[in-house]
Amino acid sequence: MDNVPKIATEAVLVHSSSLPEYDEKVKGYDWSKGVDYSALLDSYKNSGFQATNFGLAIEEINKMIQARNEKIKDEVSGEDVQGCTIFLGYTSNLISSGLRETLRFLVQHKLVDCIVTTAGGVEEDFIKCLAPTLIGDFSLKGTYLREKGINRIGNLLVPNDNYCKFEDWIVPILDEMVEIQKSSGEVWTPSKVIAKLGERINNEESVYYWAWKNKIPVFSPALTDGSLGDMMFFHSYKNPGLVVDILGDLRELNTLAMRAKKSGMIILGGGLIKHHICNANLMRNGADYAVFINTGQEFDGSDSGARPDEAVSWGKIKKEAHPVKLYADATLMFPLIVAKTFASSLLN
Amino acid sequence: MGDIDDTQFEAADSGASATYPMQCSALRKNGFVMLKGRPCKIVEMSTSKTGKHGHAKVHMVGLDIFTGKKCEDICPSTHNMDVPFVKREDYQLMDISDDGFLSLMGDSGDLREDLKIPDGDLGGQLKTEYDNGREILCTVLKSCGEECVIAIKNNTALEKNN
Repeated sequence: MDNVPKIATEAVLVHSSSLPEYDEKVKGYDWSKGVDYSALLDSYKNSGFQATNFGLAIEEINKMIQARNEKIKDEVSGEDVQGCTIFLGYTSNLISSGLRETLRFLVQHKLVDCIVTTAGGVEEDFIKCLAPTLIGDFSLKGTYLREKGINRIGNLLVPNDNYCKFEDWIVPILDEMVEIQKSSGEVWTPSKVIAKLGERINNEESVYYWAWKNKIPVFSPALTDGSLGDMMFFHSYKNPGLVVDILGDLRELNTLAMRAKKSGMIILGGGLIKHHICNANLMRNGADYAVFINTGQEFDGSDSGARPDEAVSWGKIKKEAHPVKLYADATLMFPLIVAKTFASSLLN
Repeated sequence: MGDIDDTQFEAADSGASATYPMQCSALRKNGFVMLKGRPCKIVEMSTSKTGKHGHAKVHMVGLDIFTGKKCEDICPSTHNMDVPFVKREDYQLMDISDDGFLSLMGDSGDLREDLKIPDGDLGGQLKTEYDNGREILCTVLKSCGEECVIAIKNNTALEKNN
């Protein structure tokens, strides 16, 4: 070190001070413990990068669950209500995937209070009750699949026949809905439509069957943007008059947020479902807890890719909150997160 | 038995149906089809192949053959639609009564006076031509229990002989 120029040593060997709030050591899983999956997942928190975000997401969700399990007396009704309202949002591809079973588990056991999803997120669940979605490959050629009448969702396949079965199932129900509307004057909203369909599918495999049974509202303001919408469109030629009112649902969702004692958002994916939940929480000056799991990037200014901090600037997440964004595909992460949060909490 | 005198006998139809069923996918442009209960001529037809909207569907736009109004409908390609029987017949215009009824003579020589002057431009044109002493042939369209004059042409053959 004698001959090293002083200017270099001063630049490279800057004396470091410590950051008191950042003093946890990086340490990965110790394999000498054997294949202990639970301990393996616990070790992620101190592994760095998205593994750390995974650990933080688990902590944040556990805080939501703990707050929810507390009972608080509501000043207006005088009743005891749960201490935290959990909003769960997901995109339709996740229902096409095996994550559907995990999402159904949450709804079946009343572990969330409301759902926001897109049209595909509704119909793919019902279609799975009528005919299965199949494992395919990302590389299957579009022209080949079109000839065979098979539709591709990533590396999953949904044959046209499945949609034909869906059409055969839903058209009589749409007729009923027009009838009810004409005779009672009651206007349908997306959440009422989904509840009706959930009641009629009558299949314990379905997410929305359990949502109907447990009275968990499912919001989908763009309900017509999918096969469901196609069915309604064609149906309107034969039996016109069905009205689907999105404003009615907006009132219900925003009211749910405003009345919540505390609120937690679990948002899988981007687009409408992310914004709709965050916007509802704006009505209560921000959510107390938030976990985003998506693959979006912020460099294009999109809302889908925006970090939780951007939501704080809008008042959609409280200033005092510690929101987490996990940059990952939810099909990889979410079942493991549920294992360490909802499922553990339910079994204890 | 006294009731029979009060019974009015209407001109009887053969009792046959006004329409016959045909599979949607067999319909063609310029053909006829019942859309929303009206006999229409198909002016546009397109098919959406089976997809996420379910079974293949045929979208038809038609013009009501009597009123010219646009009607449209969508039908699964495997379902049947009703096709109206449409008959065209030419009649010689003999007279126009004061209350607007046309006196028409058919090929067989028999007279009918049950049709009124058509509405709109056609009716105006008919009256003008008749008042000018032209010999006029009226094309009567018959379908689904409705009849009306839908076109006129000058009967030049008759005019030559006059």
